[in-house]
Amino acid sequence: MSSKSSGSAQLRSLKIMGEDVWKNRTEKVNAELFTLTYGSIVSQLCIDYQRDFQKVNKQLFSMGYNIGVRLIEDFLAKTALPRCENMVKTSEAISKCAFKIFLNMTPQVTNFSPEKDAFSLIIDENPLSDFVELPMDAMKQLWYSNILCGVLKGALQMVQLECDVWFISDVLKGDAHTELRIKLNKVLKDEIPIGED
Amino acid sequence: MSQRIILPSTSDDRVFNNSDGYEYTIGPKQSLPNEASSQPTPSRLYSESLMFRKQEVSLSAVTFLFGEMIAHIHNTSKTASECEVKLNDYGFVIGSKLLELLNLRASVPSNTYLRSSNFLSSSTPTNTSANAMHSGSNTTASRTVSGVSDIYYNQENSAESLTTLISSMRSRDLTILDILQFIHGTVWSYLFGHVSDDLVKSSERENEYMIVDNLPLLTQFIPNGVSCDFFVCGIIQGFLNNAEFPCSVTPHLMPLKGFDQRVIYLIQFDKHVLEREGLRSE
Amino acid sequence: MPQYFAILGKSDNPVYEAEFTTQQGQQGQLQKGFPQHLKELNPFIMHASLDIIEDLQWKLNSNVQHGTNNSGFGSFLRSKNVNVTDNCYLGKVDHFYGLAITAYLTFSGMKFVMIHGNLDKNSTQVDDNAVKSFYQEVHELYIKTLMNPFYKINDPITSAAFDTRVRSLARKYLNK
Repeated sequence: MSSKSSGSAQLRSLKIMGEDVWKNRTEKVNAELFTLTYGSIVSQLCIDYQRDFQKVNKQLFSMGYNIGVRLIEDFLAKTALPRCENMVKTSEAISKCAFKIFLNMTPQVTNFSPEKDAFSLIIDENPLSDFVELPMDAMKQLWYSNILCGVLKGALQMVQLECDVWFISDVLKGDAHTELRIKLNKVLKDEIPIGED
Repeated sequence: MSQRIILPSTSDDRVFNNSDGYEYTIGPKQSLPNEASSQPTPSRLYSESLMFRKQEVSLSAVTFLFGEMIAHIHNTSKTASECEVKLNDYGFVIGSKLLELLNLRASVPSNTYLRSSNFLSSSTPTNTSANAMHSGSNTTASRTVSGVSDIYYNQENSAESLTTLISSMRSRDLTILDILQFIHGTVWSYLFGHVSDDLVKSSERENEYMIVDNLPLLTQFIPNGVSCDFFVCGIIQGFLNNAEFPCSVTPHLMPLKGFDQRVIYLIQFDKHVLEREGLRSE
Repeated sequence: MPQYFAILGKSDNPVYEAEFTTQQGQQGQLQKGFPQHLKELNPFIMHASLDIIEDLQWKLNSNVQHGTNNSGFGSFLRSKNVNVTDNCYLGKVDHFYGLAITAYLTFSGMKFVMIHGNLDKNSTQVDDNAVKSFYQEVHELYIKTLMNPFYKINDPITSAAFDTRVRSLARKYLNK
């Protein structure tokens, strides 16, 4: 859509913006408090749902969704980003701004589908899963960091992007990488414009 | 190879999984001669370093997560007190882990570790009441944030085992005052980026102590959020209970001029803790 | 000499147990373990020393109050060369017919206990530095186990990775 040179310039500025917001306008806390709190939640859910890990996945997703729909306002207020015109831009905004500002990491964007409507995030430094070893019975079914899928789903929906978000692989299950997939289903109608004046 | 001598009376499926680890229904296993050459079983958990990596996330990420945790507990509890108990339990687990982790880290000689503790104070310039205990850490904070990261990265890679840096473990805290000082200083700094605003002994009751926080980090955005501070109570209680200082901890809103959300964590120790201390200090 | 090592939980429940044996001969054919009758006794011998450990658990730092003239301070069995400021490693706490029992306490009061067998000589000499290093490294492995959100304090440690690492530490420090 847009010309190549201005496109890459914009990507660079996304990166600079993400770093700037993180450095100068974000109150920070010890990541381990976050890790421990999340660990406490997941392990308690496994007990609450009697080790039915499908239910745990679902609950984590819905908790994430609730976070996502609220977090997007915080995000737009901090970055004042304009609407992304395509998924390539969206993917960069997620990786270089959103992940950077909230979790201080920039997952690698990769594996775009030919139609450019789906892509993967490689999350190698996942603060959620530090010091986690899945129990044998959870190995197959539990997506430990599934809350992230919910967050992305909720946040994207609020900017009119109806997406599917799911994990493909996880280092906790012995995979080489932790890969999260985002696929755009449709762009919702502009009923309530968000992030625009 | 292992013959099941005793059938375990447990519904825990893990018992029936074939693992090469310790099988508590069978008892100790002899090490085998051919193990001398064997490599340790690969495991992410045991190859991670316990070294403090001073990584940070945004406060909003933590408060969003905390809010969702509260909402989930609300939805699954019938009464307010059930809510508080559950919230306390979430914190309790964390406190019991911190007891071991932070004491281990505190055992690493300060010259190898000094710098990494600085970052904690850097993110909270507001709490300057922080004090003699951690003196020094405040002043140098700002310039170390980015500068030392490479050093630590390297060290972290080589330090799969922290104990190689430790000559002697930190002494276990044996008195109420010692362990409360540790919570007031080290634990609070770790969790919230500053030491607690005060540590007070009750003048009325022997077994009561108070930790004061002028601005609770996690609940500051929750209106009337004092009942949510049961999470932090759980952390304190988990820490103390596992160190064999059984107690109960409750949060109390005590606003002060300029600090609307000031919370006092009231710690009430069981009687026998005082008795033990009385006997031992003679 | 063989060792029997155990981690005991809050209610003296076994969390982990292992027996370390030495190999002799070129091919490591000859294993030296505890004789069968001792194998069965080991848990009892260990439990008999728990009272002493629990007493030492709450001993206030002795060198501050008593100076250096009294290194034994109330714990007549403790090995002489244990640094008294370190109250995690307790050193030798008990003995039983020529077997030595050493102990270590973690910050949450988990008890690491070991029975040092003796097959060659009449008395068992405990190398405090080596034993202490062994305990400290196991302590760190224990903390890593504890950091896992799926592990509950006092649960038996069934991880194979933990087991192999403890055994390789035993080879490194105890049965060189």
